[in-house]
Amino acid sequence: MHEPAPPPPAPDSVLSEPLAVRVALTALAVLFLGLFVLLPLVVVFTEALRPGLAAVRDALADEDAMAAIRLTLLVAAISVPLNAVFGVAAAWAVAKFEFPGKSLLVTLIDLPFSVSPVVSGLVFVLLFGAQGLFGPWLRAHDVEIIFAVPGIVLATVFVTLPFVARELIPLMQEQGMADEEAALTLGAGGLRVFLTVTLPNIRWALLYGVLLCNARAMGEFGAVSVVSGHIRGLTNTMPLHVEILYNEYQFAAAFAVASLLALLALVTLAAKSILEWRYADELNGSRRH
Amino acid sequence: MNSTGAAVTEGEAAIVVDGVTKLFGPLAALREVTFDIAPGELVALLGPSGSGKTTLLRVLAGLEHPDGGRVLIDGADATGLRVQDRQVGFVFQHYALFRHMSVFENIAYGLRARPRRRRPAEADIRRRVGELLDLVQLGGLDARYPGQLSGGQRQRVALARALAIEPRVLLLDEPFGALDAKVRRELRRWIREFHDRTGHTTVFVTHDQDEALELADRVAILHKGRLEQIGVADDIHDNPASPFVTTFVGETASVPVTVKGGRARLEGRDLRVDASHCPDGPACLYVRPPDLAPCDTAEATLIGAISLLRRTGAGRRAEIAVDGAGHVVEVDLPVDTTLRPGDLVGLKATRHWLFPGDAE
Repeated sequence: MHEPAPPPPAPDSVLSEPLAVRVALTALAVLFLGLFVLLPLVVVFTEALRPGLAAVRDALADEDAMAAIRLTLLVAAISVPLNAVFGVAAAWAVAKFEFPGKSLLVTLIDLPFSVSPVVSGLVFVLLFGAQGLFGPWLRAHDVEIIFAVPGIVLATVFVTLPFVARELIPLMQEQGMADEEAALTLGAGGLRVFLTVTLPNIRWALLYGVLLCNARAMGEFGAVSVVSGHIRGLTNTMPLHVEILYNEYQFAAAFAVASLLALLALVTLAAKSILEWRYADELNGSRRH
Repeated sequence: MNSTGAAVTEGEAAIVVDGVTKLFGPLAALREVTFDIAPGELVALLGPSGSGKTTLLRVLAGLEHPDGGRVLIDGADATGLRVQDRQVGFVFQHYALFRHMSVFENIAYGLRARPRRRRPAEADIRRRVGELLDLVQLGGLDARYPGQLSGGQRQRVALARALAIEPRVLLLDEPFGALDAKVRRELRRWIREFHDRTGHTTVFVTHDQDEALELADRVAILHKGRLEQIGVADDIHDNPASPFVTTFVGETASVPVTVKGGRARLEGRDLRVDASHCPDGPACLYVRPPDLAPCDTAEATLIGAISLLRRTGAGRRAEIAVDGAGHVVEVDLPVDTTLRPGDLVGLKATRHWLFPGDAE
């Protein structure tokens, strides 16, 4: 569909800067990146591995650490599919239909990005906390949300809500309705059209969104910290566990768990880069990240 | 609307469009459009952008629901029928091929989408797709993906995919719109041959009058949601039914005139044009360059001074400011004409059309 991009302009075009300027700018960028991105990452891994691999294994095998890892995986396993479904539904509605309040919906989808995670967490405390709006009712019916797993899931869902939707909306808008309409004229029913035409058309963008959503769901600290209550072995996710260990001067254990989170970030980054490199066309004409 | 609208009686028409109205909010995209299409006919829907031609095609396909009127296919009311149940082949302007499926799977899509008990066996699907690929002369390309095909090839895959469902009618939206000029010409000829070979009742949308008038058996001209005229090319060219059709087809110049007592006048001069069908008041005279020739001013329809003379391929094209009123009429002159800019010439019109009212 897309024509190959025109070849880049010759290096000695009018836009090119003197050599000294180019070297200086590049050096500045590399230095900055090294100082603020690469160095911390290296520190995390060296600190984690300083006491030796056995210590890392012990730290991760610790009962509370295992509980934190399990909870983080559980929260991601609930919130990522939820947001994938929501993202596809929202993008479908925005891209394929005209309805009143559409621009409001698009703005609302971005809200979790613009609001501080602490505020996101507080909102749920105000809604479901003991003194909150639904607090008395929830207590009367013996439902625990705040300082329990449901609260953590809610906060994570809220914070990671935009990732999939934002990835899909521009793509689906660009693709339009013609493919779906073609499938309909060929006799396919709604579900078949979705499974055989819509989903394949957005699959790589969906995967990309899910990847980012997952990274954030596992790494979220602020909102989860507010609603979790920091109950060791029960409501501690990995990021919260790292903080607790660090505050208790258990640096080796803190860095061991942190290195696991950093590893997740690296894997996400690699997968994201592979997607961008391999399926640039199908993700979107113009990348925004 | 006019006598050529009903080419066939309702019983034998492949498609009957009966008073179809479609509103988009307060705007009417179609206003009470009525006409018939005979089985095996190739009909063009022609009009400028925004005329409602694509909306009409989508109403025929069931992709839009009309706010009024009926659509009959093969004599049965299809107005309430879902897209999936209409059995119409639709070729989209940009083909809408499924990019993640091979050519084979694209064409087989309609067969695989059938309910289980009507779905052909895998071997039958293979045979049928093979036949369709041969029909559109793309044999051997079944394993390719849409991205690996040229524009003309994609067009033909889209056509084969639409034909796989054995459609009762074939609908093409701007079939040549996305192609470059050379491929357009080739494909235009190919589509005509293909239609004659397969005999499907076919409706296509175009904004290109040459395309419509050359290719189609009949042309329906739409303007602002109304059907202005439907007829064969000769009808459209020689007997335009409205001022819009007159100006839309061919290079037409218009000269506002005044009708009084069945005579058309311009600047007080009698134009010797029969205006018996026009009521007294303003009217508009339409003429085309090929129908105009210089003549003695005494017997001329229009008189004016040559304002511009320029060389065209085979002759010279003169722009003539008519009767001092500043309305420019163009006329073709031989290369060796002795007329010069500024000369006063009379023009005799072998054909002209007069419609009451102001200029279109």
